[in-house]
Amino acid sequence: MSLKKFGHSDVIRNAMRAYPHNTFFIYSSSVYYDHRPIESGSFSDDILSASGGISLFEYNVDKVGTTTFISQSSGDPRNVVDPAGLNPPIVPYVVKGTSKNYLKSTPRTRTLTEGPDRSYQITASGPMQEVFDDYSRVEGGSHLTGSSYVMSASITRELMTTAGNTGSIANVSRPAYRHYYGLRNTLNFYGTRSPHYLVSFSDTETGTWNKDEQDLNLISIPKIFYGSRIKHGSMSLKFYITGTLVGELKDEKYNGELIQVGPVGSVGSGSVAGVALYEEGFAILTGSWDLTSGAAYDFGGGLATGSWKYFAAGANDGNNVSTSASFDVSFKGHTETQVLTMYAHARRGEVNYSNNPTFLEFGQTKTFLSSSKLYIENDNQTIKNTVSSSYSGQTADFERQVYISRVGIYDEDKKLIGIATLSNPILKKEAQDLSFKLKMDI
Amino acid sequence: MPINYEPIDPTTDVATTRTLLHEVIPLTGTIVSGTYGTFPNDDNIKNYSHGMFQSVYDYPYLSSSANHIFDLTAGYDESSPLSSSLNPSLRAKKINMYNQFSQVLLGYTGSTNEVRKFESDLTLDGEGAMKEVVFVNLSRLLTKDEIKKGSVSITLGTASWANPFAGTKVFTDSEASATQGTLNTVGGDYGILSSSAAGVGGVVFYQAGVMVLTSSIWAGTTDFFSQSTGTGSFDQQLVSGSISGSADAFRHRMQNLQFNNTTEINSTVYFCRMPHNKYNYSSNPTYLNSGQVRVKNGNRQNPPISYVTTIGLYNSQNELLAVAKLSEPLRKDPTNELTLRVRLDY
Repeated sequence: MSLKKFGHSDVIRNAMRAYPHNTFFIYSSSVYYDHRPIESGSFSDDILSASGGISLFEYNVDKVGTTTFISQSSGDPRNVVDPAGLNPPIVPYVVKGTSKNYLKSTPRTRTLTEGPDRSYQITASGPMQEVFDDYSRVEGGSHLTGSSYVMSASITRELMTTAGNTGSIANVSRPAYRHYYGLRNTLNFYGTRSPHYLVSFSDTETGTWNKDEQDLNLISIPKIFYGSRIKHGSMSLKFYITGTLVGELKDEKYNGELIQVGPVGSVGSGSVAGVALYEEGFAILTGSWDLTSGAAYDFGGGLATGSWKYFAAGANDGNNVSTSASFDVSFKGHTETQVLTMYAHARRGEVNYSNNPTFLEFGQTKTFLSSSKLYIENDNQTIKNTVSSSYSGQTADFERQVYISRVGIYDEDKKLIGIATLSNPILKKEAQDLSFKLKMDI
Repeated sequence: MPINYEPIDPTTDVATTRTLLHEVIPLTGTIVSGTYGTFPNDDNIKNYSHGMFQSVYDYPYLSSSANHIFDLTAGYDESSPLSSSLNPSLRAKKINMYNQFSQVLLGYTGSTNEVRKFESDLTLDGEGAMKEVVFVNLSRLLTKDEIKKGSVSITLGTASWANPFAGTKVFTDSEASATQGTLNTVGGDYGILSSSAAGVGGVVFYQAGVMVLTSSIWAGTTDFFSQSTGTGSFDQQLVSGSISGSADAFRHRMQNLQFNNTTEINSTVYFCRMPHNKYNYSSNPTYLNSGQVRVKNGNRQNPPISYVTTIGLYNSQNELLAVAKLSEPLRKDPTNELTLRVRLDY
């Protein structure tokens, strides 16, 4: 088989930049992503188990029940499973060998020792699997299963009352809100963009604050929604009471300050209610002015007048929120996709033969001579005439032509590394030039 | 940016591994028949105007969440007695379907390049041909690189149409394994689906993800299908019915299908070694407090301690290529040495 080499202008590499738009709507302690309803199925109320977000795999759709391995002691040598329920889930596993590979399993709790002199013990929870705990304990050939692909992402809201508070765990003073402490350095780092990022600031014109002593409303946005960063100036936060807009925040200056821009003339209009961490995917709101003209609603934890610190209440924070309040979070992401474009040319006089058996007339003798010493193919085989005639009952004159259905891409060692398949085979006649444009997103 | 780098010796610090990741795929008959809508017009079943095959989804296919799980079709060989039946319906399509699968999966034989026939053994010698078959073409989403040999099990109802699972046959490829019990053909390896009680029920092609089930499974079933036109055997359905009608009847009798798939993961493992006298200091701004190393607790005599959170992999030009994050910080001080395995999957 002959191969064609790409010319120097046939391979183009570039980057495609996109700004995917995302919207989260929070109402009655439920989150709706991009205005999609939460789909219920025949077995599950939420078929993807990704309420208000996106499912990472979209794999176990509308599944219920369990899938467990039949004990090896049953003597069945096959990897049979015991699916219980009407629609049990797909479960991944690896067989224990020598690679030390295993899958993250179901959440568990274990004790960690830490501190300068290793005197403190804390309990950590999460989907973890210790080598000493599981991997080395099980016998070789055992099945190490993972979770059944129920991984999803959505926004989370966390209200931190007096964010700098400390609490006592195992007799050691620790930050009560570790998410805030994890962001303090980052906030100070972005202080060059706007003083509103700074943890502590005092100025007669801008104001005085210390975030350690403020109530902070942290909105966390997983990276899967925005890519490399949130597009600057694209974030919009809208606060509704009984369907009426009572406040909207936008980054009008493109410097991360979330300024109340609406409704016109509303209390706090023009004030900075918080900051956005575009690279990290957070919005931190501190605005505490009354947005609801003294009317109180339950944002979780009792009646209170509406303010930005209650924004997005009910978004995966465990609160039952009044049905009068609803919130809208929208922003654009920023993704860069490397794109490889290749032009494959089928010049006139080239690519006019096929190795497909049906390219030749049916019923011909393929082998001219075959013995213990010789193998000679029949070199007088006739190519099937596939030229369509314009007339009924008449055979058109023979022309060399092929139908191209695929383009193979080979590396410098002539190994096939990719195949581009056409949606429909394309007729190539001998006198034609054809070029195929192949694009691959990386 | 680091001040110094720890060189990686390709001979001692780099290893390549291959891991086989498997998934257990249980497909119960409830989702292919009767769960989503009313049989045979289920919402997760897609029929086409060309009538060549039927697609089965794991959820109503109009939903963007639905995944295609397999296609169903049926056909017979030209030499089958069904081919010469009176008034056969869609004869050419059914023969073409059989030939299409057998060409791709088994290839040709003889000096005249005859299309091979599916056989109930691993010899491909023309004996035991399965000429009337149902094809279950599993989606690549489910089979991944290949079906794991020795993991296939299908349970089919063979009793009456009204109560098909009153009698069942379970076919498995229990004779097949990674090292034996299969035959390699142009379409990849295939194994035999059999049952100790019912004999051979078909074959399964592991790389192609295709199951070929023979009509003899329902040899004693007189009402394999039931339609407004009446009832009949598998052969009658295959002769006079549509391909989608055969697929419907098959779905009605599918109680369970399960197999394991395989994905091959190639990995490079970099052993990143931290000697006792290195990496005990951090350039993190929080490491210092008023010019003093915070973890020494004000006592200069205390040894330095660092907590390793990240490993950066650099190329020969000291350009950062990749970053590995630890699930939790690891304590490093002059009394210990660490070797961290950084695994790169691709």
